[in-house]
Amino acid sequence: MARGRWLGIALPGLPQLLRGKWLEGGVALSLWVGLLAVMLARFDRIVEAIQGGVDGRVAVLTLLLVLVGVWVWSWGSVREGRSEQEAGEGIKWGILPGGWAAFRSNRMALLGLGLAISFYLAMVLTPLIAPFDPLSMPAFEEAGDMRLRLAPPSAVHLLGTDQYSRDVLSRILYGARISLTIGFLAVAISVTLGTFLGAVAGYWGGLVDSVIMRVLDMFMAFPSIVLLIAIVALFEPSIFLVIAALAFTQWPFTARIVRGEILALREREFAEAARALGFSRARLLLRHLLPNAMPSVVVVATLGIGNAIVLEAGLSFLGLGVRSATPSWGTMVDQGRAYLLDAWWVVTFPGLAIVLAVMAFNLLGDGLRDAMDPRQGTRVDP
Amino acid sequence: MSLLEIRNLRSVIKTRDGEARAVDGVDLTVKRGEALGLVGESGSGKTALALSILGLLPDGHGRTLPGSSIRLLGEELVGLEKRRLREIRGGSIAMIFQEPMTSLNPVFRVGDQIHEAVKAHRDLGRGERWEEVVRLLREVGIPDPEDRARDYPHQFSGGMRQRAMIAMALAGRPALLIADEPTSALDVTVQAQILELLKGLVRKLGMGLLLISHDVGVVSRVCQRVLVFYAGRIMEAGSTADILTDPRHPYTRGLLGSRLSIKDRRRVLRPIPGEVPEADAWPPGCRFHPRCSESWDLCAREEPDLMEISSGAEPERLRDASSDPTSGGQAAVRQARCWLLSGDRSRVG
Amino acid sequence: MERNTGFPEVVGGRGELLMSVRGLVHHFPGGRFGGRGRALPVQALRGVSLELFKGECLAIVGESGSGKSTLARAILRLVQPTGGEVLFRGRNVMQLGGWELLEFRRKAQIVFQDPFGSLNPRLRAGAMLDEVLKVHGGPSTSAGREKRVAELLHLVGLSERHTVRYPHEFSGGQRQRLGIARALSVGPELLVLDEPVSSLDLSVRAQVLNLLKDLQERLSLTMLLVAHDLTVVRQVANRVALMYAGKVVESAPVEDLFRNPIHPYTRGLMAAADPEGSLPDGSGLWKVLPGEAPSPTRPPEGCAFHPRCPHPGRDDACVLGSPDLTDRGTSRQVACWKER
Repeated sequence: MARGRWLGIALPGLPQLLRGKWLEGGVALSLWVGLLAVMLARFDRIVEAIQGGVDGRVAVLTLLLVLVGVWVWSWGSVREGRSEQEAGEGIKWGILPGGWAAFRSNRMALLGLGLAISFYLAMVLTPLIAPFDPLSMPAFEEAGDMRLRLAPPSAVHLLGTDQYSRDVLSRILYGARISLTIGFLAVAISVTLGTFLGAVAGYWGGLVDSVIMRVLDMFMAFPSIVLLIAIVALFEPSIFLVIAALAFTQWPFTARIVRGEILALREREFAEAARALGFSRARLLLRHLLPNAMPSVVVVATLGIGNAIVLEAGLSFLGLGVRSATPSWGTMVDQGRAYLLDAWWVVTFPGLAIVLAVMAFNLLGDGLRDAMDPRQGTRVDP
Repeated sequence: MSLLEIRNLRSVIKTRDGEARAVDGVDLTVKRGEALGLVGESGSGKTALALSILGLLPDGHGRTLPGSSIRLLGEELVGLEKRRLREIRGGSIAMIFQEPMTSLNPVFRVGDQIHEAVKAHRDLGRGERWEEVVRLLREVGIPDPEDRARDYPHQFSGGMRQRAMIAMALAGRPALLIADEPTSALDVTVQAQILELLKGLVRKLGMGLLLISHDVGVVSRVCQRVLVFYAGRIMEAGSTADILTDPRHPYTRGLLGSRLSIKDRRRVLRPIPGEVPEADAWPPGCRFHPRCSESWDLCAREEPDLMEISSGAEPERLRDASSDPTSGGQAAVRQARCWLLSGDRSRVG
Repeated sequence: MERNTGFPEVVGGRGELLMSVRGLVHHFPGGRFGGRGRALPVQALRGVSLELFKGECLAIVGESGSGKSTLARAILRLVQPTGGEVLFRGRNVMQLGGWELLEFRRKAQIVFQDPFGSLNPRLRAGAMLDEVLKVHGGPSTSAGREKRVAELLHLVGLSERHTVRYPHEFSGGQRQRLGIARALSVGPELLVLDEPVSSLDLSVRAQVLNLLKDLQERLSLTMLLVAHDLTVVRQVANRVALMYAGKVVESAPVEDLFRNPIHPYTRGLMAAADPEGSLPDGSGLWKVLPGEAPSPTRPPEGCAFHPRCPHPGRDDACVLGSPDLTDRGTSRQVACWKER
């Protein structure tokens, strides 16, 4: 369908839609249209951003990259008879044996993925799309209007303003950077650490296993929030400290799970087969056991991000979180507490942001776990 | 009235690309005190068939299509409400599976598990229930049943576990027992024992038995009638003796030909070439034709119906509603789904 | 992939002696519980001795608990036996270290019973074979390996289009072929097969057995086939050794065994496999063996088979001690007090 190609140049996503590929087409088209709109509506900001700091440049770069990417993808996938480039793939390892198909058939997972991507995309593009400066307090400026304080959601301030007349929406967008970044990095570190220690414990067993497990037990004996408070109270709370503290208190969960998986996998016949083939222990662990433990790790990781976001919000809520001009969502909830009954939007929207973010990652985790299971699809063997 | 009457059973299994017709139009009947054998390889749909009867196709992964009818003692099971279906499962119909270790709960004592089954399906007082547990264990040939009832599954050997499973199945005094590959996981000597046990139970309790296996030998030891199942359909049906001594359908002949006996010296084996087709990709025409050494053009174009064939004389095609090879009390009725066996020569080639 | 192996050739006997097992014993803790909750040791092997000659197919037959699978793994050093020795071309397998062990692994491979469990579910067929080639010094370029992978697949009756598939996308018979391809990819001399066709349907069994016979001829393989099914054994093996409760009770060339089984257990197995027939020597037919094979945690006193033994001469002598294998003709050995 050559016409599809030409359409695809102008409007990526449209040809896919026309072919009935709702998902790919819809996503591509909305990304394209949405980002173009941003580009046109915020052109002035873009110019500003390029000349500004790293922040702005990254935002612009991402915007352009995504636009180009969507366009290229759309053009490429329209090409007729796209045979599986799997011939070469046969030699490579499969990341999603269950197939992309398994993942996309899970609506909830797609929703989670969509939300998660939207969040991160918004986070990166914040300098361009945030309607206001999160720190500006128009009510307190010269000739400021006090009615701008605690203003309910309106056309101008989509989510209202807080007691300092700061735009809630913009603050949420900027706050996402803190919450989501901390969430992601904390989990990245804790899962890596936990996987490593868990795998070592599970594989080597014996004394090594006992030692690691006892350390793990010690950590798990304390409720996370108590440990976190203790750590943060001892040291100066910076973003690095919070991330480190979170990683430090969350690794045991991953470690336990990985250890269990490795213990079970070690006894499976394909592990025995690998030993029979003379594979080194390192190879066995890294290339055969761990990849099969990955589905569980993925679930733990994604749930962990949600958990980390909540814990960080909790810390901030208690006033122990990151101290910076831009607030984290938790801080916003804390600051808005007093106004819950009068100006519900100040507390509710940040709270909703937390909920949505956590939900997105949970759904994503479920979907990924299913997709990574090679036997997805056929349960009944006829 | 027959014990079990199945008409036009069609079940589908969900695959990545849609729904695969694992069971595609099956008719069969089991009478009281009768043992019916179903021979099929992996991929033939036999397990799906067994699960369909009990409504055990996992939700979301498979379902029985409307238009199918499964009647147990006259009661329609397809579309039956869940509560009644649960009563029937383990009660009027019981099923035993291939792997007894995975079917028994490892953390409960064997006696407790059987007791649970008795409690669920029978109306007995407490003391009577325990007596029944011991009686059941004895009936399936487990020595010292009072003591063994207190053991855990891992303390039983493979054969004993399978016997325990049978005891559990019998707890509800089922009218029909479905056995899906009950001996495949067992040693040869134990297989013989279990098959003898099943045969004896059918005789003694007047139960109906549907025995499913890929091994014709297993089925022939216990059953009077055999159905040969391939690609979701019945390919041949007849009495055990007839099928073993005079198999007509090329698939049946191929199956019997691949059997090995210890009397066979080392020779070139002639297996059926090719593989069982996937449930979502049945070949057009006769489903067996790609692997059949005797197929004609017609076989690739049109799928034959299940037709009645008699030994020697001209075969007739049944045109009435029921093509059930097991009804009517004529054990000698033979049927096959093959153009080669049809008398309709004008249509061939 | 020929190299200077460091394994000296041993010449003698009919065909050279490839492997010899002497008094192999394997106990491990953690079996079923004894009366007072103590864990009884599992006596999987209680003194096994046998010899394997180059080019032959030796079948090890036994029921569950006989120790046959443990034997298969022990000779490949997949388990470390607690006693006895295994000599491969004169070298003690248990004492090999480092690269010598890797060499050994190249020369002796195994095909497992469960074709599904023995394949890594996340590895495509092609990737799996590619990895083995990489580890064992196959072609150094990716393209070279791809070619070799294709060759291996063809060798077992599969094709290139199977390289991209995951294990769950194959049928049982195909998975088993894949397992065989994997074992052959290192170019072994000895192939151990642990119940290679037990989990396959009857018609598929025949296909795989044909393949094995064909491969044995083409590649001059020496095979050790572990099985419980005598019919399979008769099709593929040259010699048979029967195991019961961790010991070998009879060994003979295949046709001799089927024509004239001596040990009561062997006869019992034949009866079970052929209930309507009669034994070839007309010695009458013993019925189906009662009871079951003993648990390896509790082998009976004396001759382990005596509780089930239908031999008319069975008496107290059978309980006193476990009989050793004694010679009964060319290449025949039987371990029975009453059949000497």
